Amino acid sequence: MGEELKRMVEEDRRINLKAVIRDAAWNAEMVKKLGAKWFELRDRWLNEAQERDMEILKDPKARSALLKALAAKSEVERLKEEELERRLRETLKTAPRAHLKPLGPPGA
Amino acid sequence: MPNVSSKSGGEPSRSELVALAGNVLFDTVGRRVYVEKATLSAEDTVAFAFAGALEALGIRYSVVAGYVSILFGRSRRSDDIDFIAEPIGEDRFTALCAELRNRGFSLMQGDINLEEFLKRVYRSYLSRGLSVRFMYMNLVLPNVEFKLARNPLHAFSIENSIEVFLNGKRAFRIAPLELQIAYKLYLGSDKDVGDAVFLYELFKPVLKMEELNRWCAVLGVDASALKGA
Repeated sequence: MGEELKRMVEEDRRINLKAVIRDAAWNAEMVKKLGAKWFELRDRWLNEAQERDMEILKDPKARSALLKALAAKSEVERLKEEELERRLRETLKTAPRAHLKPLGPPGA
Repeated sequence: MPNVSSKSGGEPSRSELVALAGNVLFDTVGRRVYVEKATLSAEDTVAFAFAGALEALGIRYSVVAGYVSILFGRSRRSDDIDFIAEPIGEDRFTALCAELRNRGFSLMQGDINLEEFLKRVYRSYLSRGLSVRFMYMNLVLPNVEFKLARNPLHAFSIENSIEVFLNGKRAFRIAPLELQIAYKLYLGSDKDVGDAVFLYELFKPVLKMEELNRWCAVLGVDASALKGA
């Protein structure tokens, strides 16, 4: 039962990912085909959504909940980065170091 | 927007322009990208304003993550615009906050006007590798998530950043696309993979494939999603 459920979840995820990839590729095609017109449509949608958000965030409860969610999001991102840094330290033992060097002096 | 045809003809040129879309040009020599659009989104406006403050103080930075795809036409929104800056000390951070305040920004973690408080924020967040968030004109969404470079990937993003010109004006610098794509694949959520595929499909003609493969190897990610697109 557990194995079957796991297989079904993985299959769902695979199908979903396929749809995400197809959508992203289509999105890039639209940018290439429609150019400025695509940006106009997209930005109209973005700005409308922005206005709706601003209305919702006038409610102090919604605003406070969002701020808490943002703090939690930062923490998740930090943990992901720490994991990446651990992996990087391992990879750097074998990867070409010229590709990854400390930041040079300002204006370099 | 520069003219593509004026750059051909075999004469020595300081730029080599590739049209990725009618309103998106990439200069493969100068590492610049030109975008023309009729209106700016809230994300564009906030990014433009924040970058202006960093540049006024000569602080090197790069914009990374979701906003990079949105800038080039990805049809999604983002809660934040991520900026990574070169390491700066407490005093420069305080000066940056003063510049940002003058440009309409406030700090989500507390009062941007109090120097002592800013120093405490610096010690509690930035110097420990954590990010701080800035709001533009009191907008919670989208906000700017700001952190200091602390690993070689951050350093590479800043050193090799690409200049973006929006409607003819120098706007800000973004991380190299090859690294962005590999990093998005590393993060691995559906949204991140979608962004990676979008950038790959749009910038395919100008991407350095060897570099992309190298980043995928460094980050240990499978690039088959890109080929699948």
